[in-house]
Amino acid sequence: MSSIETPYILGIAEKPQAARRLAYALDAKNKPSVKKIKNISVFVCNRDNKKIVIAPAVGHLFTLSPIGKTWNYPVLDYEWVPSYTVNKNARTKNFTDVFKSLAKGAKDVIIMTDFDREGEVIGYLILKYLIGRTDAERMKFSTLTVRDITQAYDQRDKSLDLGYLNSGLIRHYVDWLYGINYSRALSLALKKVSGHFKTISIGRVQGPTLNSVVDLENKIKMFLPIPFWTIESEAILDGKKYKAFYEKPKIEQQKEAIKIINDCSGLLGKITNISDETSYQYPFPPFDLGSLQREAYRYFKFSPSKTLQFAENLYLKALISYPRTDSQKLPMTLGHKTILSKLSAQNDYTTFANEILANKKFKPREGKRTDAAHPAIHPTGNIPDNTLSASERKIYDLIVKRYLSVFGKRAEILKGTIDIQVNSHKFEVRGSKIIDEGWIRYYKPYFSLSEQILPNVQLNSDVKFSYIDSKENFTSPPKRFNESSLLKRMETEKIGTKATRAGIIKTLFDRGYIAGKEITPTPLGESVVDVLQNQYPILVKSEMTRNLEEIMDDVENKKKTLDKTVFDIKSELKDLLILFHEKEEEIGRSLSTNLRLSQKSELVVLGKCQKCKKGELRIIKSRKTGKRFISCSAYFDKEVKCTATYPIPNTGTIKPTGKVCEHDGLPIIEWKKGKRVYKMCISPTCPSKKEGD
Amino acid sequence: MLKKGYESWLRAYGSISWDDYLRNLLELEGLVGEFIKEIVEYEFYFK
Repeated sequence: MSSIETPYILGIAEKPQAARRLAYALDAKNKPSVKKIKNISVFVCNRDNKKIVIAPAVGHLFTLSPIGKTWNYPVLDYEWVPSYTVNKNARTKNFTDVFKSLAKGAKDVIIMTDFDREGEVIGYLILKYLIGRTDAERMKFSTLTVRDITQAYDQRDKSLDLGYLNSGLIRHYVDWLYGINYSRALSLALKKVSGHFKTISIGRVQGPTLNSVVDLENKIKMFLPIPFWTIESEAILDGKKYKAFYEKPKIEQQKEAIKIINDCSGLLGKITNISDETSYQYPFPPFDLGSLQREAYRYFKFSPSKTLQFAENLYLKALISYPRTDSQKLPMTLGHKTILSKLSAQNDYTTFANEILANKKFKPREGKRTDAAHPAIHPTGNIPDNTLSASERKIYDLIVKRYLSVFGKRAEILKGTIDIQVNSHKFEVRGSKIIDEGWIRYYKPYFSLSEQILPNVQLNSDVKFSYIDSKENFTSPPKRFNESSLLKRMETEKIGTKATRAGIIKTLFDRGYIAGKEITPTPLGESVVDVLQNQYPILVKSEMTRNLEEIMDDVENKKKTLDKTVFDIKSELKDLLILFHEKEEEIGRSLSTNLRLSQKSELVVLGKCQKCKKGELRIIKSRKTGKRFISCSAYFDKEVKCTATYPIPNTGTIKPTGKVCEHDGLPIIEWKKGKRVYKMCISPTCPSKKEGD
Repeated sequence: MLKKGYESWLRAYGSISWDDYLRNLLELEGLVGEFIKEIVEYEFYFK
């Protein structure tokens, strides 16, 4: 099949775009020839009188599959198989065939996949199962620039790093073993009791993550607010009004608040102290993946998985460094002067890049975290072309400005306070003045400081207040997670990895366990967690998965061997599954009950739609917001596309009554809240409601 | 939990009747948890 003259060095790239960049960088004339094999572009380069053929994968070409056909558990034996044999949607067959055809003529092999655990596994499996070897040379690069690629080629390792490879492999084995066994166990437990089959999938990281969401939701549902008071006041200084802060930010008793107001009833105070203090705001550290995802969410409202996708696209276009990094370090070897010089050629960054270059200070501010494989995320300096999407441009701008800001000087702020005494009570007026914006100029609009300039006042002078009042407040329930804060929670709990956390959250959405921008568990998610918390808590606690992460780190550090570790994990899993099996019927019964209750609230048919006369009005729950409402089934009918919708309360249970409203012919529903039952037309504007019916 | 909350409210206000406490909780939109609200409604309307 391959018409390329042998022998050659075979390069394994992770993706087609990466293969192109690698080839253009490595070819001595930067003009590799392109051959089509099975419709896949394969690049032929010449370098140092050697022929290098670079072929791409498209991510993982192999997947784990159980040995044996019975759908039962425990499943402890597995094998690697080509993805397309298991997943009909995986478009990997041609890529697989290309490597098979190129294997024979390959004198040497270089793995050129992204330098991380997944890249290592991708390259190794192709090497082993398609080329028939177990070792190869390895290129390590953090950007897809010509400089980094050629350097990585010249300094390539003579063989694979087994520790790194094994830590990638073991992660696959553990995730697969736990995922497949517990998903089967739960699904079979349900089937045993109910007779119905429904796939209940759960993974070792999904379980604890979902549990965090459910636990928080329960705390919110059980929340009882407690009153407290704050003293609100405004002082008049030099003819202008300034907010003044009372010495105690929170007053727990109403009588104390009343006493304070009574004591200050004259609204006249005296200035007892005036102070100034210079404070400094240092630049934020360079982006690691987690902080980039959080910042992109905060400013653009991009989900973590979308941010990662945009960042990966920027990396493949050689505009930024490898985004899957934990590092907050930017070593000097990256050549900051060169990067800044290149950035100065881009109009948006010319002024600031030139300023930094003129200062000749190229030591960036760094954070504490490191990553053995890659530096912090930074721009390469290459100029973006017009293939960037609007979203990619936003992420690019954020990364560049963050990079520029770490070379900026600290911001200097003068913080002033004026203390005012009213009887025995102390108030404080606070001000700030920006002396030097420093790095903040480079990072706008993503961060800014506000000013409040204080007037010149005299010590011991009198001060009038426009008001001193007490305000009643109530404690608030905890805030729900959003995708960014849930990601942060996973980082804090040390579950998942920088590369997998965003994907885990997306999986929970896709499987219908969670919903909404303010994330709430769905009835399905609540059901599953409720059963597991009571019957089999190990699947929803972080400890198990955290311990597994530590074991996997030991494999990477070569403190433990891969085979022995896999053996131990399988033994432990087998014991856990025996425990599960003993409780299978009980778990199945609880799941069945909970799921029945959760499904009941999900689809209720109320009656015929009066707008289109074709569809049925049903209560559905929005996957996006988690809120329920009434909509017409003919919305999905392409010819009809009925847009009739009606709002309904989100608490209590709603049932159809079988009756229609005499005013507008719409269904009348029964809404039960506790022991109160209300009957009402679904239309919020129905005349019956004005009549007080 | 409702009783414990009442004790906190008593400390905060100095004096408040049980009925007023329940009525205030019912009026606090968006702050009171769903489960608590159902218990309060039951206590207020039916007990």
